[in-house]
Amino acid sequence: MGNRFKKTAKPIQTASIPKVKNAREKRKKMIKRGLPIYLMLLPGVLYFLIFNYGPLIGLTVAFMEYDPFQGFLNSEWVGLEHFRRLFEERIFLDLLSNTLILGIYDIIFYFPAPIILALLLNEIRLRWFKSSVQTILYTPHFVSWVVIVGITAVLFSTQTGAVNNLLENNGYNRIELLTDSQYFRPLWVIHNIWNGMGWDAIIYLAAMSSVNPELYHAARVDGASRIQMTWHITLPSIMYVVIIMLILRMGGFMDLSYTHILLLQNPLNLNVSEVFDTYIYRAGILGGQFGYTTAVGLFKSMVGLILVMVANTIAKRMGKEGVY
Amino acid sequence: MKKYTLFFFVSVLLIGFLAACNNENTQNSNVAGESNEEFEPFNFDEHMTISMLTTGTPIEYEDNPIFELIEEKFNVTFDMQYYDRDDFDSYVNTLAASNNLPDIWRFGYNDPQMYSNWAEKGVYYDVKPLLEYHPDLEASIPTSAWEVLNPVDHFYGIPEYRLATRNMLAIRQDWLDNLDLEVPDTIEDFYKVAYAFAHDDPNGTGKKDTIGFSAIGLFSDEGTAWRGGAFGLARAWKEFDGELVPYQAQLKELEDYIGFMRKAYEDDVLDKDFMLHTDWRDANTRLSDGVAGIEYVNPNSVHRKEEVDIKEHDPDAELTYIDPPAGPSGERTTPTRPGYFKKVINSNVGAAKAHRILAILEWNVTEGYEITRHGLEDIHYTIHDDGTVEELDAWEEHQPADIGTALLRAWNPLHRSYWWLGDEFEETLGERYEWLEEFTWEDDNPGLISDTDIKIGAQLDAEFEQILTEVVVGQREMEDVELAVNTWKENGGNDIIEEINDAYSQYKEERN
Repeated sequence: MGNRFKKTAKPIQTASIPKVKNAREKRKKMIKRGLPIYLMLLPGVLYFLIFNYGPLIGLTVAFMEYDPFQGFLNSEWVGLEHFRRLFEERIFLDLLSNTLILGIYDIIFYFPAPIILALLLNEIRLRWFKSSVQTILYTPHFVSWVVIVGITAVLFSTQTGAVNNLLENNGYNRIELLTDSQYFRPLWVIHNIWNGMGWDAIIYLAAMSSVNPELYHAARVDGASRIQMTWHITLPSIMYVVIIMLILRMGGFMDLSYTHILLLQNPLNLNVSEVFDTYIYRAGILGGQFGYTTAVGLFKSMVGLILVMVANTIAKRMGKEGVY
Repeated sequence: MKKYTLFFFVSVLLIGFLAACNNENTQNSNVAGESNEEFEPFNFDEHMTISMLTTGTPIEYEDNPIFELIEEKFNVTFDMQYYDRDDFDSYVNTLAASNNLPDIWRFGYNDPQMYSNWAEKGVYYDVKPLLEYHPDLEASIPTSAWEVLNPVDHFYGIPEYRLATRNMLAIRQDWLDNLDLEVPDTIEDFYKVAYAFAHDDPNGTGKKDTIGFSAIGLFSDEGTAWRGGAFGLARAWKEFDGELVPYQAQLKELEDYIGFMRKAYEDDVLDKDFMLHTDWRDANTRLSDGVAGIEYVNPNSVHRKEEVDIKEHDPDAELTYIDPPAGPSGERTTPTRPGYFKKVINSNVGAAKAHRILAILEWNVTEGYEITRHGLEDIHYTIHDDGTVEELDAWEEHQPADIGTALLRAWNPLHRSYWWLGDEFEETLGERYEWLEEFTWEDDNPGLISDTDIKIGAQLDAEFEQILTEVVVGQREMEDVELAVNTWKENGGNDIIEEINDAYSQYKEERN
């Protein structure tokens, strides 16, 4: 017993030159051995460098009165002027509150939807039925916002919408779904859920497939019901994925689907539908104010970064795994 | 190892940055089209690729004999790009930001200021020195069109013919007959007829399924004309006692116009979805669907679109084309578009390519003129023994006339009157265009710009229209028309008015 833990008294070989040589050779050998792996990694690294890190240079535009024909080097440097203008913007608080409210709607109503869907799909035992339902539910992901908003207009436009005609013919009032501002946010969330729920459920279904089946067998032996198994086994087992997805989603908290909102926007819902993304379009792209637009975009990204860091810290403090 | 990794990352970023800067330098080195490049006129031995950005529905390119003919004749290959016209200016802006402008693109949907700014920065090729080789092209276009928006002695871009007053007002003649009504003349008559269309069952279905008219929001150029203009509202700016006043500041006229629209909405005469429409075709669909009784139509295509579509709902349906209604002071206005459309050439292309482009455009108004209207004989049309011309199926497929108008654009208002439509069609079309010109809704601003307008104009206009739309649908009282005007003025509108009028004074001084 004692001998097992006894420190060896044998002196270390001190021939230093052969040691360095050995280490170098060892490293060379390691590199040689890992070369195919590094080569396989290269496209991914290059992708991130070219498409994710390279464009970061473009952020300097936020500090310039950027003129495309003068370029980065010759455009006038204005420092934080664009940020000052944004914070002093008359409608800044409206933009911020509209953006935050839609972001909160997204987290509260949209985020749980694919999880619930995945849990429900996981309980279906008929494979053909499960795969059919899954296919039907993720198809909307491939439908563009133009088509989705177009369908909504065909069904719900006040003057000629099919649903509204039906309601009126049966003695009910028409619903001004597209023009009454109180419907804008619920409609936006419902569209999002219809469009993305099926697709986003895939990742949770993948996580559920890795849950150890013995846990379910044991629970069944102990007399657990299906709801109890879902609550006590499935949900805790995919919680790490849920938290990672939540943290990542916080990064895009202020990034709302600009096309979707712009298509739904009209003068009667402007008070709730004007968000940073539509403001960027109107003030920036239409007016060609690239510097200002980039500053607004950078502000949004900074808020996203802070939210990711806060969410990650909270997750770690709660004993869960974060994204870093 | 850390050091190496850091060095690698920094190197990649630096190389990327330098590459981007190098690109910019390439753009800037050829400014103003002042290329000293030597070229031999009309020597087309060198093959060239011409990238062209335009609007409209894409035209079939592969195996299209018209494209093939032009490409072979001028030894070029077209790289065609299309983009939606509603969002065209923002797209061109984005291309500029990414240093990715094509060789030739359309200008006209954009703000005139953008044209002047870009011309100053040397983005466009000055074609004037090259016109000595293309006298037919120069002569086919009026000098005033070459000069508009351009500084003296420079022609940036080749003017495109656009009918300033194209769309005309159509009314359901069969509905008028069914209700025993006369064609309306004044704005009051118009309202009475529109009210009867909405309430007196003009289509005889026994249902309340018709309306008077639709609209494209409240202030679209193409939709406001017959109502707003009749009440004296400016299309954009109107001169009063030497000062330019924008429509947003015309309180009295706005009250009349908004009052009219509010009543129409309340009485179910106006389309309940008018605020959702963004294009004149959205409103026009209400006419085609047999829902609205009064709408704008395009004289070029009404014979094959609306006149056909309405018969699907009612075989007896018939349209009559009418004068815009006279307002209280007798003013009649029709939708009027700016007349400064141009095809602009990228300053980077060099003289040889610019010359080649001009040669193609010149061919389109000379030798190729009938080819890019009617196509090629026995492929796109056939001439019978009695001299009549018949259109063949390939004409629709290869769209020669769209190549002639949407892409190359000859300076001719009757470009769309084809041989097989007959002389009478051409005559009627010509008469209609002349008739509509009488009602031109001028913008008194000669293309002057305001920095404040660029920065916040779009936002102010959106808020202005929001308040007034709320007034029209009854969510606000009529008093809030004044609130809309004051809000617009206080939040930056006054600065816009001041800047434009300063520029206008200077403009007038320079010309006196």
